[in-house]
Amino acid sequence: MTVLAISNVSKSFGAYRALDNISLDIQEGEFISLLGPSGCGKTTLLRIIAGFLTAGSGKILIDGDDVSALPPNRRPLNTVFQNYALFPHMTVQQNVAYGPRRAGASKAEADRRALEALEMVGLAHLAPRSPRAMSGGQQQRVALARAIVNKPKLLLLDEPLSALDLQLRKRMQIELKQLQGRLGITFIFVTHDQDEAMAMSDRIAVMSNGRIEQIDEAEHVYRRPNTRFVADFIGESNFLSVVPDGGRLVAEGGQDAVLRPENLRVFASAEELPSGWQSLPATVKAITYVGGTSNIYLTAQGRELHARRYSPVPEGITEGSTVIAGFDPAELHVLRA
Amino acid sequence: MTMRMVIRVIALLTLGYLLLPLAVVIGGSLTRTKFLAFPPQGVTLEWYQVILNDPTYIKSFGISAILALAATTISIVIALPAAIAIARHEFRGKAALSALLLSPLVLPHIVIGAALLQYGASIGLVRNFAALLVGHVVIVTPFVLRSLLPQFSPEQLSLEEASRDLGAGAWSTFSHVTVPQIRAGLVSGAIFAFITSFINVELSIFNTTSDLNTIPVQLFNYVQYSVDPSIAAVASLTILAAAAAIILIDWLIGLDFLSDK
Repeated sequence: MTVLAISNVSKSFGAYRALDNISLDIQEGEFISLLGPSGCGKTTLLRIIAGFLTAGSGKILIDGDDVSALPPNRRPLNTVFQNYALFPHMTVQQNVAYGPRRAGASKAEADRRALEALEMVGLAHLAPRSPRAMSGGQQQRVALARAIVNKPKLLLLDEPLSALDLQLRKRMQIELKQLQGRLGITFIFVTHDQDEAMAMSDRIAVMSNGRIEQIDEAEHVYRRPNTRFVADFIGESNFLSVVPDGGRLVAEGGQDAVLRPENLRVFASAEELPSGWQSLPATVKAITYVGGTSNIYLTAQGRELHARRYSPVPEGITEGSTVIAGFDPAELHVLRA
Repeated sequence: MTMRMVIRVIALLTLGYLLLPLAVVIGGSLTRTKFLAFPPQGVTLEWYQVILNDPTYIKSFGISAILALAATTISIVIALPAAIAIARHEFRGKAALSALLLSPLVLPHIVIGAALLQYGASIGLVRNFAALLVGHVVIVTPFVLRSLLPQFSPEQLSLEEASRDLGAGAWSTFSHVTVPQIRAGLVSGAIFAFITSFINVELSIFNTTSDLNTIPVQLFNYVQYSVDPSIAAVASLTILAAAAAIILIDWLIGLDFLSDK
């Protein structure tokens, strides 16, 4: 069932077109990420959904009801803000109880529900504390508890993990995903971090210049990017040129195709090449080792290529050596013209 | 450690110096002599009795209190929306509005008083409570505006958005989130405004009459003809009232936050 329908939404700030005719349907219980570089319009779209901005044109429907004209306080959704926006003059419990209180719950009832929500994020024991005296990770959890306490249909998350260090961020990614599964709330997660989006999302909407470039499952976005932008933004790519019909490589003038570095193999000689594979002669420019992976950087037909392998580099392949770069044609993804 | 001691001593000396006139006034009010004397010669509450039995003092005190309270309230109603507009929005005439509201700070009160009297006379706004109130609102509004303006910060906007997001309407957000954020400025501005109004002579004097008098104007008039300990008694009662007001404010909303910023 569609819980949120965004229909032909556009927004301009003066001459700058921040959103260009966005349409997007989000299903109940889905975890969807809006992914893109800064300035792509993802935060603008989130603010329009929340009601802090009004769309220049188009509609926002929640459960089939047009909420485009409703103020934020009358929309059945809640937001986790990037800077958490916890009320500094209230305790943690008062912060979380704020939503239920505004919804008309008695003080006792609001306090009970606040504790329940804090329990879910593992912070019930800090309820009487001031949020100012807490670490970033704890504040983040309080913001989360405050946003879910009213059991919204939709939870909007505006780069909520960007202020946390890497270790904590990874842990919170897993916790967020688990929490979402437990609550069954639809999550709309704004991020510029592709790994974060890949790790958590059911679907990813990749945005650029106010448009959705591609919306698909994480794996599909990675394996079958629609555009050069998506291929470039998500993961690393080798761009090759192929003739449109057979997928045969050409030096230039063909159609763009993407080959991920893990699908490009390097062989010392042409005899080692598996049958059916395509190949091109290349020169090794550099080899780097990062943990268990090795990266081989090549030049071939004037292009820079990047091959990644998770096993040691075979003997005979050293910097400056002439090699054969080969790949299974099934792994080559031809971009839409 | 020794540095802290030195600072402590300096602070205490300064405080003592500031409090000395109060000691003289309170001491003088207790003297048994018929003239002001310090140190007091003997101790009596006779002069307080004189004052408290004089209905004109009681009445003036009441008028001053109501006038200061009304002027403070109205100045908040004017300055608070103005401060929000000036602090958070860009609009034509913003600098002009700000300058207009702060201009009474640079004009001598006696000039404002004379101007008000001259203009008021032409529209019947003269020698009545409304005339006093208009003048006092003009001179106290800048104090409220000045203390409110630095209280606004961009972070408050996201707090207000969070409040809206959690289901609070515009008014509810204003009272639950905005006001607590600017409380320090609001309270200190209100205290300044109240005191400024309560002690004003130069402006009030144009519009007071024997029936409609404020306490400082009445004291001013009185000391022109005679100086006896009843003056000190009135002044002492004013100090007492001010102290009571501060204690009351501290008890109601707490003043500790004034030292936070």
